[in-house]
Amino acid sequence: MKPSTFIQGIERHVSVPSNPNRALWEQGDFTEIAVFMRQSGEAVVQGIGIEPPVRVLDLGCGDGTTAIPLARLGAEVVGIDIARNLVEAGNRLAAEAGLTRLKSQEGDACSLAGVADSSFDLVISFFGAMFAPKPFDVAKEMVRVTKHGGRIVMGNWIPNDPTFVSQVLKISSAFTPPPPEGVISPMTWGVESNIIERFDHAGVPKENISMARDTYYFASPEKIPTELVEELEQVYGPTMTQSKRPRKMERRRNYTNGFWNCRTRRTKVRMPVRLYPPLSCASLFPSNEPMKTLTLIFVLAISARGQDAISLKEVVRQSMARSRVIEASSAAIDAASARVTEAKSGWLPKVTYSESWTRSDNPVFVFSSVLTQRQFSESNFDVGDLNRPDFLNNSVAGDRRPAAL
Amino acid sequence: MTGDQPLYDAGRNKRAVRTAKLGEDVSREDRRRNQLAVIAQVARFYWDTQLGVEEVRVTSQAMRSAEADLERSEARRTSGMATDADVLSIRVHLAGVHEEQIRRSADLEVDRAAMNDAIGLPLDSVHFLTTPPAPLPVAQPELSGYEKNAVDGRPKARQARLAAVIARVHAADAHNNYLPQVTLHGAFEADRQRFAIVAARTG
Repeated sequence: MKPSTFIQGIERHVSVPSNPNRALWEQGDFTEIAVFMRQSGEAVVQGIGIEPPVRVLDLGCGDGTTAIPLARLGAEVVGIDIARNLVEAGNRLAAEAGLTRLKSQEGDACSLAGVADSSFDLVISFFGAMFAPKPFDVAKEMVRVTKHGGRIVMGNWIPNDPTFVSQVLKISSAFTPPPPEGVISPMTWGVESNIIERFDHAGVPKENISMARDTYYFASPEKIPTELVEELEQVYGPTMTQSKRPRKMERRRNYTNGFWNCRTRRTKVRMPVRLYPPLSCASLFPSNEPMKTLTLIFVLAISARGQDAISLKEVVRQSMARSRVIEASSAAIDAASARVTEAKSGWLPKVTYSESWTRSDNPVFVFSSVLTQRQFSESNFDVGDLNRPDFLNNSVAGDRRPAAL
Repeated sequence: MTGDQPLYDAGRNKRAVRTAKLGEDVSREDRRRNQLAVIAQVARFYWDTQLGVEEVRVTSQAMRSAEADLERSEARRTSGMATDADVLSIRVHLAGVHEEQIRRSADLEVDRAAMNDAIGLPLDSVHFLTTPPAPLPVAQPELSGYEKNAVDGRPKARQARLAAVIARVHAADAHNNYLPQVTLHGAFEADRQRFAIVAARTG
């Protein structure tokens, strides 16, 4: 099966990002982490419930955790990710799976320039778009590219959740310098009021947004949680960055201790002041058994355009089409045009025809009518008939009135 | 049967045609004026609705802020750093913000209903308004230019000019009533006992 022209069109026009997050996600090898997420990715896609033909945009697609299952279900999928290496990995995996209706490419969730308005039936982003630095722009772009009546589904990590990923990110952020002004924490996507505000700002009312907590599994029959944490330090961009940052010995030790406590299930971690609050992340790992359940996610199902989208131009067009005042004005113009035609006819000759009929036994009427009809005879001079004539019909064709000058 | 052919009418018919054409132009201007009024009205409804959405959002945030202020104030009172009067004043402020929120929500409903009415939809329909408010690229304002534009382009001004021309045409027409008119008039008359059609049938 050949890639559709739709996918090819998107591929040609989408802009290449200049987002600073790009370097963050291109370092390391997130595909090593994504391996643990495949099973849940498929479960998530099954839960969304798609019915082909459907066009799907997977924002922050990574190497295809959700994009590949979507394509397998028959969806026409465009994946966009900030990291080139993940895009390449996603396309490679799709090719290996023989999925021609899936194409990944570089792009920035904050600015989907090149992606036309109302292009997709479904826009999903699982732990992808939440990391883009401008959440309001992200929401706006997601809504923009979604068709009327389409859906947006997001999966976002929940801040301060006592589960794995939230705690990893929390510890990482503890060693991160304050973000530049204007950059908003990705974890704010896990707060309901923020989600409502952002999508409301993009034009989606609160009533169209639903949220639910669900469990996302990092599944690996071989690895134990501590090994995953070690792997995170080695291949996961954000934690790799943080592990390199603490240059001073003390900060480095704090950072290491943070993860060490996680790995060894110590119940409390003494945190550097203001870096991070007491954690209980170690309770996530009751034993060193192979991982099954680790992390909660926040799943959003947003009917982005359950309401009709309408532009000012369309509103004006509709209101003018149904305006009775304008309709009356148009009728008045027609009447005026007819009066022009009528006035022009004044130069043309007029021909009129009329016919009248009269019946009477009035002697004068009968006498004059018989005479006018040229039917007068001698018998009409009979005195009795002159005084008391029979009734007579007289029909006059023409116009006896003098023509008006 | 009669036939009439005007030969000379002192320009009366010509002026009648001109008056009718001017009347047609007046009607066109009237329609343009109505169209502009509808556009202006519906655009106002559209932007009012968008503004209403923003205002509701702002008041919601103000509400949250006021609620946080109240919480803080109550905590300060609990710790002995504020009095009941302080808390009460925050409550009054919160009530004011709440009132504003209700007012803005009601305004939004009214704006939305007005827009829906203009486009013939149920009054409570909610739309996703896609046209973002953007400032118009305004050139350097020159008063004379605006005046000229108003005089040349405004339907009312153009209608007034047309009305003046029509009045002049009527005046000329009235003057020409003194002049004679020449019309060729022909008539045919036939008297018979029956209507023509019956006569034709009977032969």
